[in-house]
Amino acid sequence: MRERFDSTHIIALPNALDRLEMDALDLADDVIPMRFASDELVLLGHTSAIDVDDPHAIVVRDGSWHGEWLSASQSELLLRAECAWAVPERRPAFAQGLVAGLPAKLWFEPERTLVVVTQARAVDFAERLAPYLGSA
Amino acid sequence: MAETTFSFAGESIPVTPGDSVLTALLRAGRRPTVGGTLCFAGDCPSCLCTADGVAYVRACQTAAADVDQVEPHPSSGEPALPDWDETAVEIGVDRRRADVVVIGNGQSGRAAASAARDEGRSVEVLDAGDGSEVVGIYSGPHVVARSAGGMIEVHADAVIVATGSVEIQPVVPGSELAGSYTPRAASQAISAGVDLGNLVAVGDVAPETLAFAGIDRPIPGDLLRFESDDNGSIAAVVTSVDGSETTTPCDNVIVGLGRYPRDMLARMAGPGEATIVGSAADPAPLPSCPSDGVVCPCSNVTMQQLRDVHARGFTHIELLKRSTLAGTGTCQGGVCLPYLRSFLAAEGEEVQPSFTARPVSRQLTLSEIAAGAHVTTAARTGLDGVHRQLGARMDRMGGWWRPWTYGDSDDEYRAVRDDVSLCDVSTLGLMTIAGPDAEAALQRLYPTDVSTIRAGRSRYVLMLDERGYVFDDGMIARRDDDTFLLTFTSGGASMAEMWIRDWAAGWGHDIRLLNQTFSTGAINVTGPKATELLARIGITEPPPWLGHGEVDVAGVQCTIFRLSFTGEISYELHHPVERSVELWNLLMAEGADLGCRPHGLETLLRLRLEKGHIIVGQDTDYDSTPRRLRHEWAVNLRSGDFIGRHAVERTNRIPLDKHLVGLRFEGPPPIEGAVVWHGDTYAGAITSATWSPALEAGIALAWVYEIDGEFPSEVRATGPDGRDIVGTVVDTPFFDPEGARARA
Amino acid sequence: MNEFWEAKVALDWAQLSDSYDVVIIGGGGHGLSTAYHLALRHGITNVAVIEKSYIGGGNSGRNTTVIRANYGIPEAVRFYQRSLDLYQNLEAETERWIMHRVGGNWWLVHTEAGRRTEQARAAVNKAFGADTDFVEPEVIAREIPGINMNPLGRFPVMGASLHHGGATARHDRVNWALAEGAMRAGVDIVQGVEVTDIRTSGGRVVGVDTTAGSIATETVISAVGGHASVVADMVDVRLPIRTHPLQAFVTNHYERKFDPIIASADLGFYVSQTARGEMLAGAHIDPEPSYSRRAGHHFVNSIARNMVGLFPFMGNLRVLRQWTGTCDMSPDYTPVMGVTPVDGFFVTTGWGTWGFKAIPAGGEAMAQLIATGETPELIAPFALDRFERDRTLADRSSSGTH
Repeated sequence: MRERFDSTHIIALPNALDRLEMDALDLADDVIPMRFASDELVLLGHTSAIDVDDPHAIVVRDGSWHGEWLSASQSELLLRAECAWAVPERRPAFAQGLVAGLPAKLWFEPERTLVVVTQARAVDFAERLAPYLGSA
Repeated sequence: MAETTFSFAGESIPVTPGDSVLTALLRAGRRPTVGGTLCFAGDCPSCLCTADGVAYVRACQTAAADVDQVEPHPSSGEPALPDWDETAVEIGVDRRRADVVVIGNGQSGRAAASAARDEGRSVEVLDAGDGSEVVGIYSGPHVVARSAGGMIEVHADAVIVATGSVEIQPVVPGSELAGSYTPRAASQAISAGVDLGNLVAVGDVAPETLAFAGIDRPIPGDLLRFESDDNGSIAAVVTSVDGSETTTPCDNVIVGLGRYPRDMLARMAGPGEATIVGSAADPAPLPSCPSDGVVCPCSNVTMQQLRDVHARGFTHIELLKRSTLAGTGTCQGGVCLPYLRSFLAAEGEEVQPSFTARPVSRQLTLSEIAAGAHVTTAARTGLDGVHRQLGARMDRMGGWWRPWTYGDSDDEYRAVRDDVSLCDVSTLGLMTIAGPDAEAALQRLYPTDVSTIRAGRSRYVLMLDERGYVFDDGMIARRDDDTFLLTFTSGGASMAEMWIRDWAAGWGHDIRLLNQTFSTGAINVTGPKATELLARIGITEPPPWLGHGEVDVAGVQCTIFRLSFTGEISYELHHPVERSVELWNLLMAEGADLGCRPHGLETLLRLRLEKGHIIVGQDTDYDSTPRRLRHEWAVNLRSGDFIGRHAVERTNRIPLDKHLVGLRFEGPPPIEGAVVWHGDTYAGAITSATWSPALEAGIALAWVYEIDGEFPSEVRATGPDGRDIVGTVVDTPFFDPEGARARA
Repeated sequence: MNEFWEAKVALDWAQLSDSYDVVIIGGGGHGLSTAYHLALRHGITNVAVIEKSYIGGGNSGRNTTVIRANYGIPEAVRFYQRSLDLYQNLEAETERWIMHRVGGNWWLVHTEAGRRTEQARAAVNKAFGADTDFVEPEVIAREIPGINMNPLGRFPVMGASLHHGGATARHDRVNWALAEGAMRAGVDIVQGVEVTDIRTSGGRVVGVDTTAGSIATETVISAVGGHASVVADMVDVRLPIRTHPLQAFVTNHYERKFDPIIASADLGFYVSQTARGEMLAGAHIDPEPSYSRRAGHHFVNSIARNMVGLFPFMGNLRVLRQWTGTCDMSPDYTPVMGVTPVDGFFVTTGWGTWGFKAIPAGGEAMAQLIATGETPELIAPFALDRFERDRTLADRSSSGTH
């Protein structure tokens, strides 16, 4: 995995996160909202202070994400071979599930896909990803 | 075009484009197996061969261009196992998605595919004839097929089974001989240029097939038997018209007995997952019951045997199958199932519907089944690479890779006892819980009074299930009024997270829970010089015993805990996992002249045992109540209505049958797992054991049972040399019971 | 003709009478074995076995045919060793071929924790009469043909417990031999009949209703698999049983030359070659508590990967059939046998993945209980009331195993 990502990891009420998720793309160009669950949002690439409309929200810096940007064709090759579930067709879109047998987070943009795993799985995932990185 | 060949039993067999292994062999005057009617459709076992080391391959379904070496299927006995040193091949997998999968590219399959496309749905058509042999429909639906290039898996919303029909094979005396063909097989053989010599037909054969084969009309009458020549081939067909037999000499014979739906895949799909179209959906007519002959060519079962077992009470179709093994061989009943049913009908038995089919319908090698599967991985801490670089022997425990030892565990032990040592404890489960109901939730999740844990303090806690049994342990650390840090055992975090979320949701508690196990690293700095090492990295006012706080170490934000699992002064530095290596290197560098060196799991387990600390999962069992573990001190029954409270109260009234105690041996310890005896009575088992350098004695934790109304104070267990050694029950901690060293 | 067809057993089906001394619900291995032992050991022959489908059609005919006694707690080791011993003699006693074969059962170790588990297994086995040793890697490399000692790069084989008496037998033949023996002694066995209710009066059993009429009886044994709780519900007895799926598969037949029965908890499977030459493999139930459900394909997919990793030579073997068994699991992974709060209603259930290996001893003990009215010492620990008495059995080494 060539890139490590900082993020802001937030546990908060669903409504508060809905708003943040919608606003996320305006925060900065390279912030990617990854909604893991109704009460869990990771703003990948975001490191500054943030206002969460929930007084009890847990907001932490989380730099444990390792990822790789794939071209559309690399992404298609990878997912065709290593992903047994349907990925969304809309763009941009977030999805999560097993890829190459490991829990992965996917961010789809029109021309490229970011695949992200946690540090604990990064070495193994990189090994499994390598065969698909050849054809850019 | 250069002629290709494959080798068959040492002989070179020429191949023409489009050949299957079977057509190439037949054209060369060879057969892969001894005999039996050929179907050319993969439904029967009459053309089995061993192709490139894989036995039980159907020659008719295998492209001749794809194989190098073909061996005949043995005429008696079973194919050999591969050589022990045979290596496995890696098979690829091609995963696809489609709205609709159509299995079968015949007339009904094409119609179904075209109808689905007209509705704007994406369609994947898989047909064995086109090289994609469907082998199974799994829940999903999820269709798995084999092709020469590897496996194909299609995830679909709908499956249409258009597998057509199977041609019924003759069961008569001599049907095991070579030289008979189903009508479809005969047409294909002739098309492929196989010389069928003097060819005759019997039964119901379509006029166009007859015309193609150059036969005017079938031999009249019912097929009675085949007569054999000296080579195991058919020499003549015997038929009967109105009781009089006619013998017709021939080289080969086409036998037309009608069709039977090829519905195995249809029977494999779950309810509502598949639509069956075309002749696969036709009702299955029962053929007439044969009077003699081999009914199951795979297991070589005769009609006589069917009658025999039936007369002995094997009347249910499953008992018929299981007692004769008919239908359990390589074609999975493709040939015999219609006849088993017609036999039972003829015997006046109730004929049960066809049983549910199970994958795989066409066989796969284990390598093919393994295609695309990944090996289960263990998680790696941020220091995984550091440990490996240091030459540690890594071991998997609790779903993590952990360093067992860096090579000299005695020295690792001395580092902790005499100097200062680092241990990677990043594997501990870690969560933050917050929210207005956080304290209330914890009061019910843990058997302790959480309200008495002040901010900045922490407490050791057990987790109990509803039956009052311990399933995890850890620490609760209070940050402020409504925020707590929780730790769990390595590997316990994901279960604990579900546990907490489920209960809190059930109680309607307003909490926030963040699992930080993977995002947080933790390094334990322990040993008499630990405080000094901390001072060198800028932590001049470390927290007091069982306290915690936030510190900045060279720009790394850490939560520091003071506690001790090792029995020495001990601080855990929890930090962002991406900074683990940096922090580790800093500690190693600053501690170099203090003798700082790391210790692995082997040493940690020894140190903790000297302190009598239990490891959940190793020292606990499925029935470990706090009382049995002698951890009643960790349960506050004056606290609220915590999970397991009623069970604890109830079981506390039942006489105690066993408990976990410390044992001391004047010599090497027993083996872990050794049985414990009191006299000649079974008294329990050793759960953990080690040599204690501090005490110069063997020490152990053991389950010890009550015997004759009392708990033994002296027991025996098997020692390292296989002889029994005597252990004395002693109080724990074994070493430094006052905890003076840890609190220094 | 294949040499493996059942050429001897004769099954003599009965018509149900309207009263019996004992009614056994369920014609699986345990029901048949109980009837067999009632008739042949205790002369109690006025017995009916009522099977709703066909005999041996449940897990008795779907298991992976391993017989072993290498459990992790004394109570289980003693019980299964009794069963293993009875199996040794079953062919001679019934004069029927059950394809019994001793191959030795190896539990491989790939971690330090695994080493501890297998050392403990060997120790408790030895202490309670099962012949098991802990063996080092060089023994494994020497004795197990075709094994890769460092499979998949991360599962080094670090040792094993070797249970010398581990064996296999043909499941159907065991069921039939016992059924035939019971029938000959006068037991009535019926197929295709379902018990619809158990009648009680004043807290004791007085009869059963079936799809073939009512029967008066004061003793009912539920030897039901899969639906054990449904039958117990008929008399308001609650059983702490959950049902788990268990995946298995079998290859085609090959020349028989692979003797050991290999298990690896870490790799999640076990495999042996049957007398008939098939490689028979089963998956362990996932040992981690999990809320996730895995599809059948994913499971067999990863088990095959691990099998081929450990035994590369198996890569070219062709799998004939894959299936799923259902396992009735008790909370402590140990059977539930004996009396219930209802007079005259007995259970033998919770057989998890161990039912087949327990058939002879289970039937022997249940028959003894019925005949004498006293719970045999061998099965006393398996009593239903152990859960409320806080005397559950805790066999970590057997959770999720075959």
